[in-house]
Amino acid sequence: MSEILRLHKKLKDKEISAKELTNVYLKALKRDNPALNAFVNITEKEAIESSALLDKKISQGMDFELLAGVPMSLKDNISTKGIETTCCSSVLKGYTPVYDATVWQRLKEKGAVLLGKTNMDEFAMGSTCETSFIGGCSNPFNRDFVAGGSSGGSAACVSANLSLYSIGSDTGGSVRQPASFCGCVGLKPTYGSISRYGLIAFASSLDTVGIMAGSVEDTSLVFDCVRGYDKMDSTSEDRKVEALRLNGDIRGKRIGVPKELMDRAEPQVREAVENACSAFESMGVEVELFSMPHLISSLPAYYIIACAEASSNLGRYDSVRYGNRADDYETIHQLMCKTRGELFGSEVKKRILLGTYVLSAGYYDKYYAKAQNLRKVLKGEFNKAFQRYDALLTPTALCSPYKKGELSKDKVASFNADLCTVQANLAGIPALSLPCSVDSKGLPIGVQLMGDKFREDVILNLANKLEEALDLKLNCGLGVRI
Amino acid sequence: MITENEIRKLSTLAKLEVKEEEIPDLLDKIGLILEYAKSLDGIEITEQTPERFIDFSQLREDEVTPSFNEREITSNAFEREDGFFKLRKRNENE
Repeated sequence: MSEILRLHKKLKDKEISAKELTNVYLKALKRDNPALNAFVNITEKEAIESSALLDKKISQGMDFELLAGVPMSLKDNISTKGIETTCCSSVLKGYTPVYDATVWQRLKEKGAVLLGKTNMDEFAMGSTCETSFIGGCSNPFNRDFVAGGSSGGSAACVSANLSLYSIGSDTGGSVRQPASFCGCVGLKPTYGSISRYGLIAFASSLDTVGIMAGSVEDTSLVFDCVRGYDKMDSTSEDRKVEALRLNGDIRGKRIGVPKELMDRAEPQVREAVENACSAFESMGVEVELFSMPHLISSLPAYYIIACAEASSNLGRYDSVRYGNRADDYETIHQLMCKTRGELFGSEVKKRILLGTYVLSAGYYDKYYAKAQNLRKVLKGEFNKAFQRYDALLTPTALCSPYKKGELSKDKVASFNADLCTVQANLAGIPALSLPCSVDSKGLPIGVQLMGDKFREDVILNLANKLEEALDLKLNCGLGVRI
Repeated sequence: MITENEIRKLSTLAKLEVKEEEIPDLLDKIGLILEYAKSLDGIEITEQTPERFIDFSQLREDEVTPSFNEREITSNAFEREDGFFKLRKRNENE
């Protein structure tokens, strides 16, 4: 059963008050977070205030929303009015937004209880959470391994039962890959389905707000609450939204499995994904291996486009309007150069320089224009695939979680870390990661389902059935059990 | 392939100080991505590939709406004075 529905019922039946529930989570968080480093900021005061407000409502016999009183968290690149939002970068240390991101505004209106802001790679640039200015986040299943990234803190705290769900962001796999490494569900919805207003920009044509939760049903419940048109985001799509139902029959559905990614997966990942395929087949789903020729070359295209957009978006950190400042400077140019050089981490600097390079005269056509061409070709391949299949299935990551410090030493592995996930961002389609097995070390392995634009219902339905069929009982032994 | 001098030039363009000792690592990592980017050569766009991702044909009217006030806008500035962002006096030689 959905944990959100279960807790909602407990609150409704007055088995527990919202304040008691919040305190249980805050206590567990203070106990377990030091080992995980999943939270960059714990918002205890705000959490207690909002739960007390709900208790007052309940005592007056008033009705309340499904997500009211449910303890949750937000990645630290989602703007929260009056609450420090740093993107885990020294540049933004101390920055306190004067407005709420739409996704947080919608949840706040429904009575969500914010436990805190979660750890992430600096400006969401990374696959391990290790580029964060407070240090990396540990995997709840083994502290010697990373939680993944960039939304590592969000995935870790959901998986460690320290937050019922968490809102992250996904530019090239930043929700799905940590969800896979930590053993929770991660949904990157269609570009334009959840407002990006207030999400601090990395690469605007790829960025999406995403959801991490303990089950497909919980993910679906949160998605239902936060999606929909927002006039504050010009890329938000104004379309009729129907309530999601997870009871659809999946018999006769068709799933395509791109062989290019299966061929590159580590043996134990491949085996886990093949088991997921078999589970689908036993439920009457037709599963077929097929080829998407440009899946692999989409990775350099992603890097070029993402870095080009990042170099433009991060130009705003001039140390004048917000953010920190270098101590010594003589000229304004020097102030900006020194501030950015001293306060941005090495991964961010690399991406800004690469982005500047591919947009500069003489290299634009050689790199950026070609990457955009690839993006068009890839979208065409997805369109063709979705004429034949209801969903596509791949590993979420080619390997199981990395040991801490391992990826930064291996530049090729580091480059390939997002090989299975960037395509959904380039094409703007929805994709979801679901735990499907564990590796020989007991670390989770995830399977990814991709759907056609605005067909989250299809992949959530399929994932829900797969979750039931696999019936994995992952438990890292941390956090709250109520 | 990208050179040390190009990194220095990019550093100025991007207003991003790069120390000499950082250059070898940057060359290595950026070089790798550019090497992989060679696989993008020769990709042809066929007729059925969509040209647009988002439809910008319907744009809203440009209307003046309430926004943040001066205090809010400057509240996160490193230095501010009388509702303005503040910087040290500009060097005359700049």
